[in-house]
Amino acid sequence: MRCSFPKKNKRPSVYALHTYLFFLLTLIYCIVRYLLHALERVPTDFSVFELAACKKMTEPWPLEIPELLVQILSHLEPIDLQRSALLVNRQWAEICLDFLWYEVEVDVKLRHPLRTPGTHFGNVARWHQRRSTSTHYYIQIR
Amino acid sequence: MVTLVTSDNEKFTADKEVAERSVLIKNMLEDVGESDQPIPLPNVSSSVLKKVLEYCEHHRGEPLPAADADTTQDDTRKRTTDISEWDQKFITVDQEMLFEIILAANYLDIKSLLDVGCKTVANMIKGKTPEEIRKLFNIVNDFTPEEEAQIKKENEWAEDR
Repeated sequence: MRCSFPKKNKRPSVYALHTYLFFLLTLIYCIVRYLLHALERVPTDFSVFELAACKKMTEPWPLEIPELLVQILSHLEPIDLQRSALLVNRQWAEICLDFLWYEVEVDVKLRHPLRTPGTHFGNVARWHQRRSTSTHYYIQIR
Repeated sequence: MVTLVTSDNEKFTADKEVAERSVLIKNMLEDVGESDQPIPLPNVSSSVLKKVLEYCEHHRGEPLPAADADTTQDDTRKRTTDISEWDQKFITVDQEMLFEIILAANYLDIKSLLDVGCKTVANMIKGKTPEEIRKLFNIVNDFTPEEEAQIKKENEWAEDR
């Protein structure tokens, strides 16, 4: 005679299902509470950000547009160009050096109108050469 | 009257005389001829156009600078950063708005407004150290220490000028 036992029901019982659901809902509740709490810290007024960050990624600021930067720096005295703007970064240096050395060129022309670069003013000539090729280092006239 | 439509789709109406202080708008109106068609300005937001129109309204009737008056790097390079009292008050805005006004003035080709904006930024630069300028405008220093020292050394002469 074969003895048979009732097979174990592999399905979770209603009790277990309820417990599972309870924990799941608790977890969801905690996540939602946490998110709401986190969102409270984020300013909902987006004018705080001014959307500047987004805008800056698409549109350059005036200081990133060479023509506008030239216009801005053109209003500075040589002393301000040298002390303040020259060492900001390479782009600024390039423009400032153009302005500073332009003053030297004008000075030379005004003081010695008959002398042309390349004779007594070889340095100026060399500066012109370098100016057309290199952007950063110009030879200083003495 | 001229109708202008901003990037955020807001419509502004202005006197033709006021709007025509912008060379861009003036040229557009000349191209379009007599028409009520609104002029789209996709690069200008409503808040900025409001300021620009306020400036144009205040300066209406003043002579426009000549088209070839660009003297950025010639003998008469103007180093003055003097701004009239009204303009000074007008341009006292936060840095973002100032930059937006400069961009708008450049786009709309309003030379006098662009000058006011550029002079204001130049005034902000004056007397500051390079580090302070970088901080103010959020600029990255891309010099190597050697380059920085060399440029400083090569341009010491400007201190005497």
